[in-house]
Amino acid sequence: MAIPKLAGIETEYGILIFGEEESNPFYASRLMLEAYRHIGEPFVPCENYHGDMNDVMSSLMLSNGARYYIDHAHPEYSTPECRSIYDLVAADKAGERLLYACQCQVNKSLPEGQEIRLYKNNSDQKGNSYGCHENYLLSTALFEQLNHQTPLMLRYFIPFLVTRTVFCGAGKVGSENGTMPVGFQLSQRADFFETLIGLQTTHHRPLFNTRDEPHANKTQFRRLHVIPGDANMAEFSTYLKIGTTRLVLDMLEDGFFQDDLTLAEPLAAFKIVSRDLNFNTPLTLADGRRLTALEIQHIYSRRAEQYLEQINGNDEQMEVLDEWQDVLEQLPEQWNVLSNRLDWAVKKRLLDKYLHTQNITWQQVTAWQPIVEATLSTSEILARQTAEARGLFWSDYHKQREIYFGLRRLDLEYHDIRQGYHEESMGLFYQLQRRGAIECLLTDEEIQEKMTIPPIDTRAWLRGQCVTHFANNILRADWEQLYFRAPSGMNHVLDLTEPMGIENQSIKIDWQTLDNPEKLIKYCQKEFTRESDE
Amino acid sequence: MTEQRRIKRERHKRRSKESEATILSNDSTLVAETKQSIDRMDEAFDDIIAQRTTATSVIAGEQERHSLIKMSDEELVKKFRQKGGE
Repeated sequence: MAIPKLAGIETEYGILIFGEEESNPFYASRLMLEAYRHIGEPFVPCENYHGDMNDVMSSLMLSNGARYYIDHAHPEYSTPECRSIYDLVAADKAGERLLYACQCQVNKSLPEGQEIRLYKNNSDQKGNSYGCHENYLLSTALFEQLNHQTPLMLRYFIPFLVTRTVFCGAGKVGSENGTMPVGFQLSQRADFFETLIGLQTTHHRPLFNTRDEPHANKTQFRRLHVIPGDANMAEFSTYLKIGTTRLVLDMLEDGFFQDDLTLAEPLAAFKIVSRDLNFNTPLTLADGRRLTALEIQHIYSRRAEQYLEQINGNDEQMEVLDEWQDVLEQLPEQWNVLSNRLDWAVKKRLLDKYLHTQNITWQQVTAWQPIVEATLSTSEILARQTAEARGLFWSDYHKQREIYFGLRRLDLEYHDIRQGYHEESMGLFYQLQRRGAIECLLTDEEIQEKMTIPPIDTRAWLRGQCVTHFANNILRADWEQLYFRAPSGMNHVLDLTEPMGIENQSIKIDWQTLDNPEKLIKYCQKEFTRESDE
Repeated sequence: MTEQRRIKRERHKRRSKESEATILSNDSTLVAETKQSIDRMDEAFDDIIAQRTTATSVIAGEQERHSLIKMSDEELVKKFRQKGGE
């Protein structure tokens, strides 16, 4: 029987300071971290820290069990480990709100004329990509199989990852990284994947990332690090991305999924799926069959239906299956119906309307994209020669250029995370949501709660509660340990290597009784600590 | 969970093996809701685009006009340059 697939999402945000000559993303990210101190919620450092707490730290563990840090030149937010998909969607949205709160703090302190903005997207449309990674708790057995038996991963998992783009892509105007020009594509990330399997994430990005950092008792558990997905604004897109992936992993763990769907060229297939807005381009399989992305997804969803019948799937699993099948049924003809819940469809519909007002087609956008892009790095004379060689009228150039940048601005603004009280201080997604055009899965209160309270049914609960009650006594924290300094001077480690097993113990803890760290440590010594080596 | 979501969840439970099309045709309330929802979406999308094409910027807030209102689409897009991450 498959283990519960606890899951989490880590998101790197795009960041920019307007009004600065050269926006420095390192500096901007540091301001964002520093701003958390002014939010008023407890936190502890994630690294060994011997200085003044007023100094900037680059990685924080928060009272909601999440981690907030600087990664490369981006502020990054990792949700706590969640058991329920609704909890995870709420935790992801809570991360957006926390970052928006920090953004507002930073803006108060910037000089007149400067303003910081954050974008929950995956590309600057200039060839630079940053990630939204999913993490799934796997049994060590399944992880070893996927990591060390390449055919198994290629047969059963990669085809799913490539084709799920039809419902979890965030949509993007144009192409990048030297790939085939396109007006609009489903995925923000497909253009950036250049190799099949690998450990790295910052270059030659692999479809299957072999990172083996379990952050848990590795004899039992491993963490699958899934990197090709997009950052989603729509709650439903996140819900379906996580829910369906967990179902597929459950089937693999139970040995239920036996359909060999090995793609002949998975990397090319990812780009084809991303560009196939008619959902009818066949992908070639290694055995010679030709199936569309939707047909492949139907195979997975039908197997999932049989699987859930066999194991008597729970309500959450059944609901994911229903939604998955609904979406697949709608997609070929009626994608418009999904333009209130799938990111790419919302964005596409918005952009379609914009193009309509300008009397321009996507075919024209696709044709002009490389010409306009070329003018950014070469002379207009060369671009003109290229355009005319392709049968385009240069008299259309200025209009097409204006439309192209208009589309790209709308694309970018869709991911603007501002969610102020007035429409003027909201990103496009939140403007649409406010107007009732986006289907929400969660109430405002549910998201608000996850800004300060961890999920109750994973180890995140104990981590978050310790941060809430004993921030001043925690030297540092990571995903699997908390390092306490007791008043006696003795240090202790609170062991969190059991991702699920804390559940019952944590609920037993009476935080009113454990009103000082010594009592907590004494309690924890009995329950889950060992002496620190530090 | 939103009220809309709760209703949808109930509908899923009720649906069992029926197709969504059957449910749609049998459930006049749902049909009305769906139509309303589509109308609302259309109105929202049209409004946003109308603002976009008539105003200098749809995102410039009262307190934020100083920096963004003057920025053309092309300037804004060009300024958004990031470092690769992950």
